[in-house]
Amino acid sequence: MEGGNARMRAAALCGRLAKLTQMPVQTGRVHSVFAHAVNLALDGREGLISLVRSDRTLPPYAVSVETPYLLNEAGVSAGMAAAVGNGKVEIPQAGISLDCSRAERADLRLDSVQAANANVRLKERVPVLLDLLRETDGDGLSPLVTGRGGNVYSCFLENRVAHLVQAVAGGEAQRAALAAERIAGCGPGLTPSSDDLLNGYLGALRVIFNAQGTPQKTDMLRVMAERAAGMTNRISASFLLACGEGLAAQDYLALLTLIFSDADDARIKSAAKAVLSVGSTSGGDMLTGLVLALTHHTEG
Amino acid sequence: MVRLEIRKNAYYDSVTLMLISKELKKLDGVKEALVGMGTDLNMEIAHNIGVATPEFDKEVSANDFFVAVECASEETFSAVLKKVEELLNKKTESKAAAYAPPTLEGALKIDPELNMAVISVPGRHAADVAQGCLDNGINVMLFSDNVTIDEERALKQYAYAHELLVMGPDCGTAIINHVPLAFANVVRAGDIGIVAASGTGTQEISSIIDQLGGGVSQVIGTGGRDLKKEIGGLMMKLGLDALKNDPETKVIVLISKPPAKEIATEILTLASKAGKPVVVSFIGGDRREVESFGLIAAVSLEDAAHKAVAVSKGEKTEDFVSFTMGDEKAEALAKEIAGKMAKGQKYVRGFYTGGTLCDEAMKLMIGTLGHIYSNIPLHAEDKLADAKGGRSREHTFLDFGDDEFTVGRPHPMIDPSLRAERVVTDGKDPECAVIMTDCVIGYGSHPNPAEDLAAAIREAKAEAEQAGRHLCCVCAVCGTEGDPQCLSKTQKQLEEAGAVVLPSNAQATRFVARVLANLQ
Repeated sequence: MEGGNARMRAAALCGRLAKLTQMPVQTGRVHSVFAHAVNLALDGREGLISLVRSDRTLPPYAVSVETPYLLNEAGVSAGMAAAVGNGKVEIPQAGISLDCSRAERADLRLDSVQAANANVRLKERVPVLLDLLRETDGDGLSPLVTGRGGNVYSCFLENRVAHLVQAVAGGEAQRAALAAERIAGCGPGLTPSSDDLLNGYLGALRVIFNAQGTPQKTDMLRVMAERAAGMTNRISASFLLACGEGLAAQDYLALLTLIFSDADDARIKSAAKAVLSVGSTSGGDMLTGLVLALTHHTEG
Repeated sequence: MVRLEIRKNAYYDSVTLMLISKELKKLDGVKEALVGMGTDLNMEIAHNIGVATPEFDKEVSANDFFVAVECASEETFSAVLKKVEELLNKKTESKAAAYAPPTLEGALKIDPELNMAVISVPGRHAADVAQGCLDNGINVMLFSDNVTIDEERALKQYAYAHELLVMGPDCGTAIINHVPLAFANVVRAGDIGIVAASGTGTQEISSIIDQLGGGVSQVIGTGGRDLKKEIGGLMMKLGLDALKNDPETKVIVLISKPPAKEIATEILTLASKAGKPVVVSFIGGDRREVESFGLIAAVSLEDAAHKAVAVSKGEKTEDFVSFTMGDEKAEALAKEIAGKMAKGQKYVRGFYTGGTLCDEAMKLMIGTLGHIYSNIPLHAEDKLADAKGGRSREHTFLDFGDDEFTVGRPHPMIDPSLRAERVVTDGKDPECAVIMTDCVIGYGSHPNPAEDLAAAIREAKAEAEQAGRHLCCVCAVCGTEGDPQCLSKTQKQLEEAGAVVLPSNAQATRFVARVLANLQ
């Protein structure tokens, strides 16, 4: 890829990945390649490391790559050797060597969200999110909260999601973990819709629990995420595991930050639109999870 | 019969998976289709809806991509597999057809004589890539949007000084040396040169020129902001100069929304000195200003095409404000349609995939209708709140290519399904008398944009009839016989669905005005 990779630059990276890059080199393989992302599987590590084009939101354990070219046209193939460490993320065979030492560190921890107005007006955030979800095609799981006609997936999951919400509301950790497991891996898309819903739901719950002064409940969320991860494909599992660790994609984190602040509806809507644009139904499914959390687990 | 296709450890992006899922369900003979990753729950759903085979549970894992279908025959399943392959390999095929160097440097090594680049990269990189091209003496068509106006000004000032074109940003249509770039139509070569700050406006004019037997020499796009004060019309001026010096060009057409006064004066002064006849279509602008410079003013995009062809043939120009089918026939048809309508049907809904066409229709009808509510309103007070999620209000015109409709989905000229849904929704409104739409064909557009639209028109008209109403659907197809979708085939599909199909957007608006007048 003559000259191309010279124009590939690490612009930002997840703080947790930054720590990994500072450790001794860990090797692995390219797991999967898409136009906007390349996933790396490091030996002995379940979660994936990602290279993501900078025009996409930065997910956990990812490095944001500035390049004018699509990543599936950058000479990268699944199975190629990859390495992370000594300040770099590398795919030598494709001529990719990203120097992460000067890239901006992004704090993707859900615990970084400061809840300015816990519980008081959180439910008032729901209508603006529902309005946006009603504008979508309804192909994912949004019918679970919009009340519009369901599809094969939302009808299938309706009772299971109700059980999940009840278990979490009752603080029943084991029942909640089982409920999450019984929901995961359902729906269209590379990351099945129910996984995206769980990511949105669990991410929001973490911030809610922190705001309510019950951070001990976040242990329950980790177990739920891990159990769900066992029921889906590796790419989707990777996002769930990161969520269980308390990490979220940058756009979703930005939305949560606004929701828990005094931001007006216009700003919330703008941030929610950014989340909505993720994948085919992924963004909408995450917002659906967020609506579930705000509706059932906050007061006021 | 139920059939299964499995791709082990195969990952495709969600948008592709969703596209496959939707396209398979449209195939004849496919009763049910499920597409996704082979997780336990997706397998359970496959069983529930009857598309699981015995090998399903044994062979599919969570990391596998599967397609499960209930279909009428083996032939249907073969068609399914062919469709899946086609959608998955669309990009691969196009790459295999010709070597695509991934960098400008690589391209220049292959052909050092390159002098035109089409740039479609994320906005934040676009100015950088464009400047790289200009530095190498290469003209630019900048398809990308989200380029700041400061970047645009800097690029264009550099380009103007070096006599290079920067067509864009957000430029969707150009034809250079008879090669169509991006969204363009197959028009015959001729002596009419166009400089345009509008994509679908250009398509409308160039297509009608072709239909009238004329042809174009060059179509130079400028990008929608070129005639703003901040840019000063630099590319309109350069394009005008290029056409002035082009021996193939005998007639020049300028297309834009009305520019700022001082910019208009500059452009019109230059045009008046071109030494060639110039037709000016400042859509909705003041014709007297244009004519005061000795130039030919057009009253619509269609009229610009008629006048350009007339001048090209050495004929006298006059405003074209009638109907190709004849005024009497149009009036009779409008009267007949209005006569079938129920009491209370009084509003028109215009649903457009082309922003300029929507704008033109509103400008042509605002005098008749008074208020037109829209997401791109002519007057701020007529802004339609929540255009996408909400309901239409009285006379409503929507540009489905506007930002709020394109979040997370392709432009409606590529995927017109959202517009088709709106036709059905608004057809149920007892106060809705007429639904008018464009249908833009040509390179870059959906392979058959009339298909979904025709189905929606059928459904909307049938529901209206059942409710004791008569719904009038009026369409104008923008394109040519030579386009991949074919003008007459596209028109026929819409006519067979019960639509009144007019040859231009302007005629469609005039016809709708007559229907409404007959209602009164």
